[in-house]
Amino acid sequence: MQEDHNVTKNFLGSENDVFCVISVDGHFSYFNDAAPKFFCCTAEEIKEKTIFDLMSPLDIERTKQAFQKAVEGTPDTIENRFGPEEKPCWVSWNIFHAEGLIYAIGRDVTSVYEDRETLQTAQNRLRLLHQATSNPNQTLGEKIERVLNLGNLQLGMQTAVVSYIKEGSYSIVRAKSDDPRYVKGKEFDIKQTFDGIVLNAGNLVGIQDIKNSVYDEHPAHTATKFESYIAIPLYVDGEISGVLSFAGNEAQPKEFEITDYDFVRLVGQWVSSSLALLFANEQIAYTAAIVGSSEDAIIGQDRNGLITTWNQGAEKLLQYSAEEIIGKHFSILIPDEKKEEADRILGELLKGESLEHYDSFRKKKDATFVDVSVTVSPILNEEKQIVGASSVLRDITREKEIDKAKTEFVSLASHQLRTPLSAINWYAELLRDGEAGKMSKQQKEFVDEIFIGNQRMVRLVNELLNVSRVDFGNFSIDPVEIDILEISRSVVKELVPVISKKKLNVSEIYEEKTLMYLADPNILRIVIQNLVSNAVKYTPEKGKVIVKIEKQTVAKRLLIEVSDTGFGIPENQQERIFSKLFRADNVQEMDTVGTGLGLYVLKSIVEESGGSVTFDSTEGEGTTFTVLLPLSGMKKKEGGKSLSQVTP
Amino acid sequence: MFRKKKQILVLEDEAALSKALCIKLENEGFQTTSVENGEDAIKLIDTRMFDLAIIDLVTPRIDGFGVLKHLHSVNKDMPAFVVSNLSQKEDMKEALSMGANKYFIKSNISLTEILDEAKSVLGE
Repeated sequence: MQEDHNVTKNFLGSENDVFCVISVDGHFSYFNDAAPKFFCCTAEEIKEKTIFDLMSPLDIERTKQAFQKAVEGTPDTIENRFGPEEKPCWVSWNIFHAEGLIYAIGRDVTSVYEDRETLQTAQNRLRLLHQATSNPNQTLGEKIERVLNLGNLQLGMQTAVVSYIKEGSYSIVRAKSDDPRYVKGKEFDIKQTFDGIVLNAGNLVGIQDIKNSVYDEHPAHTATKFESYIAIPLYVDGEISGVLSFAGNEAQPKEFEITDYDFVRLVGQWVSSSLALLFANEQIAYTAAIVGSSEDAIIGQDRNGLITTWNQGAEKLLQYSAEEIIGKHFSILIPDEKKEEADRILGELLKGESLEHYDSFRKKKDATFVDVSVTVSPILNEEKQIVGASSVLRDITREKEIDKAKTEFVSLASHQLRTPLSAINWYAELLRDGEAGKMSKQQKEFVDEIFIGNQRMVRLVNELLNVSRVDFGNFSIDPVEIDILEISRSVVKELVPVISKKKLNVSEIYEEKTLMYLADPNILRIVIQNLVSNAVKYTPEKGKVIVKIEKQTVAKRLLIEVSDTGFGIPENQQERIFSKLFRADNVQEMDTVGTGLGLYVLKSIVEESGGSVTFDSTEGEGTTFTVLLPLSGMKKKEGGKSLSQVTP
Repeated sequence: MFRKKKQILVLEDEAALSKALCIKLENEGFQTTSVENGEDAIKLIDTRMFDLAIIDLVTPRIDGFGVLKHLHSVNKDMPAFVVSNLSQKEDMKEALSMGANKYFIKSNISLTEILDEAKSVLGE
């Protein structure tokens, strides 16, 4: 038996396991050399005490029960703790009973227990994080604040901050702190914060005891008075956009553990994704506020033309409230005479063809009309498919009124100007004709200057009147069957004095002797007169001018083409050539007489007649203007007023 | 041989214009009578014989249209020119429909042209 005991003793005498023989009441009758390490005391203490004295009071009852079971013949395993409460040594025992004694073999399982505890902490924190972030009734901002609060509690900190850092500026997105300095929206100098360290590291930073670290002298230490700090950079769209930090007013009692870092990492990840969402939400809210508060009516509609959005501007302009109009078809807003236009534009838009910006009018709830400027754009989804259209309507009643007043003024002023101009004209003429006696050569010269100057004034007034009629849209087009070549020939004939003076070579290319065409003779004359006199005016001596008119039966159009070997239009000014009062620099320098109104009027009347005007020009080489009119004739237009001929 | 001068009635409320026109016409051997308002023009038309009337459209009391209308009702064959600064198509149409032989826009026409037209219509 003794020999057996020795063998057993040798076998169990290893440093790794504890072996002891104990009476049922806990007194040791034997223990091996490893025992003091397991029980966290000396061998002497073991001899004096029972095993129950040495273990954690929490485990005594269970251990006694296990001993009793062993005595009853059903031995079991048991785990219990020894040593200091805050850092106990966990021992897992195999026990059995023989000859009134308890034989126990124990193994140190502290590390297993610690791992389990870590796991439990992590699990617990995960559960809390889930709780803090899953309340559907809370806004994202509130959730972030709850998470910050949770972080403070879990890490034993007092200040949690989510910062937004961009191009050196630092502001707080959300904060949870007992210090009133840390509130949403507050801005700081980044150098006075520890977040700068995180930004530079680009990774997790933990400082357990700032005073006893390399950061003792950091300006942030003086500024914040924080003594501990743990933080992680926040990535939004792959870039560091801020920092999540937790800071304590005291140093941490021990180093941050892996669980702490893991926790901060986890919270950081959640905050990062929330931040992206928060920014997006704020952007949406901001945009919505702009749209909502816009004075312009902003209206969205789906592919079927049903109204989907309706802002305050729309309510004000068109009198319908959002509630009554959303879901209705947009045609409710379109006056009958504009239905075709609106359908066409929407159709083109949905095909992705074009964007339009145009003046029109819309029907209000009270069935009256309002003048609007309309901008229509397609609404695209993420796959770039057109899902609807948005219209911005601007009230242009006031502009229209001003325009009208302006046009009326020009019209009135022009008429009033005509009387004194006539007087100058006629009296200069009387003098020139010698009706008041013979004049000296110089007197005649002076009167000629008065007469020529006045003629220019008359021409300008006539052109201004034409512009006002074009702007007002109240000129009429009365097409009748006429010989267009007769008009063209007479225009060229009128210019013969200038043509011969400049020694220009003017050729007229007509396929037939007569060319009957349905046109307003007055308008047609203005068009041809304008093109030919421009060519003559802007072509230097001995240059060439070609006037070509032909019916293009296949293309179903009438072509009027005037080309010259003149100064040409500078390329950078070509797009403005049809603008009111525009004159190209090169001809302005040469001091060629011109008002800059001719081509403006020409373009308007050609387009109103159903045609188009284009040009091709190279500076220093010449210009070709091409007017195309429908072969069927000019479009009739009611207006009441005729345009004046502006003779050169 | 004595030849009676052709009588021309000039309705024009702007004295300067009226004077210039009359000088030009008289220097060419016409006899002119000028009035400044439509009422006086009608009175003269009713009491005297004229070979030609040159009428402005915007005149005090009775406008040129009224004078044209009256003229046409009493003497259908008497030629009339309108010399006006109104350049609206409907004014021209109306004046021509009321029997005006010619329609001139004042600022665009010279005295010589009016004179030539007058000579032409009066067979001078």
